[in-house]
Amino acid sequence: MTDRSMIDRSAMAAERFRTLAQSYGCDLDRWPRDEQAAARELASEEWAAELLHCEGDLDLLLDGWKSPSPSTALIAAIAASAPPARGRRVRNWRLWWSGLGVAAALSGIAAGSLATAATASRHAGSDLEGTAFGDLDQEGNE
Amino acid sequence: MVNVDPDAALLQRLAGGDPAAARLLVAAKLPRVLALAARLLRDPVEAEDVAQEAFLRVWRHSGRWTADGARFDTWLHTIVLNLCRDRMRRRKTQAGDAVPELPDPSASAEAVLIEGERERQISAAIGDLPERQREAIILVHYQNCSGQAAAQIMGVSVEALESLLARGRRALRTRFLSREPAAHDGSLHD
Repeated sequence: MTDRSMIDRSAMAAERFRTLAQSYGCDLDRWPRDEQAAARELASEEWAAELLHCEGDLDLLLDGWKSPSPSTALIAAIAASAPPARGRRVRNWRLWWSGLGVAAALSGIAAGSLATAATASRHAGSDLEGTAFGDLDQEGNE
Repeated sequence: MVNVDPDAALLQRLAGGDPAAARLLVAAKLPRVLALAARLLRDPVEAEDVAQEAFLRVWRHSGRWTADGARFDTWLHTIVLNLCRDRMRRRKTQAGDAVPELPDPSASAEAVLIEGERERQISAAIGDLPERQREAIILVHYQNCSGQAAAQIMGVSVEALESLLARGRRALRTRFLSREPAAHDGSLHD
């Protein structure tokens, strides 16, 4: 590799290092994973260390904004809003010990089971195509 | 390298009707959901409403979870972000750009007062950022989303996200800190 190309590569790496520091802050673990190794090599250089130190001051400041913890009331309300477990619903129907109850549980026909009703999904060309919940748009709408 | 969703096992249990799974999911995710909503909306009551709505959507779709889609945490963050955006849009149409003030802390000591005031200043400064810059900083700095995940949540490219982050951080640094980073470009010295 020529001296010129080494200088060009170094300049590019420095520019990219600066961009990442100014975007993600001083914590290299926040940086894009595939760029962290190269960043750690550069981090010990004086200019890079100063840049990280400067961004670290801002990170420290930002860390001063704490978030609220969920109240027990909120936790309870949200947990209570979850659909009842399939087994519990079958028990409520007093079918648990009957063969019909077992068959119902296995077939998943218990109303209000966690298997949600099949509704047509409205695919809105979302960037989250193929989400963890099948075809949903970004608002969780079907 | 296989990229396994860390929430996969719990979601499978939820889809399978495990009664403990919902409680575990709430315990695992509600703090993050509430933190995101609280910082975006800067209104604790609205933040709790958003948190509840987000989980209602989780329950509604819990039986349809698949292992080959986007990560659950990314999906959940997208839901919360969009719910918050809807609320902020409604605020603007109902009351101009007025943002609810954070409640004053019931200060009993000077240190608490000072800390509370500092938090309000940071909150206000971030709240004053353009919407996309604010979202980017909250997702990356506070929610610890990767750049890729944050970009996906916001529906922008990673490059666009990094630009939003840099501009937002620059504005905050100007507001709070007097020191700018030295203009080194890392060029080789003679």
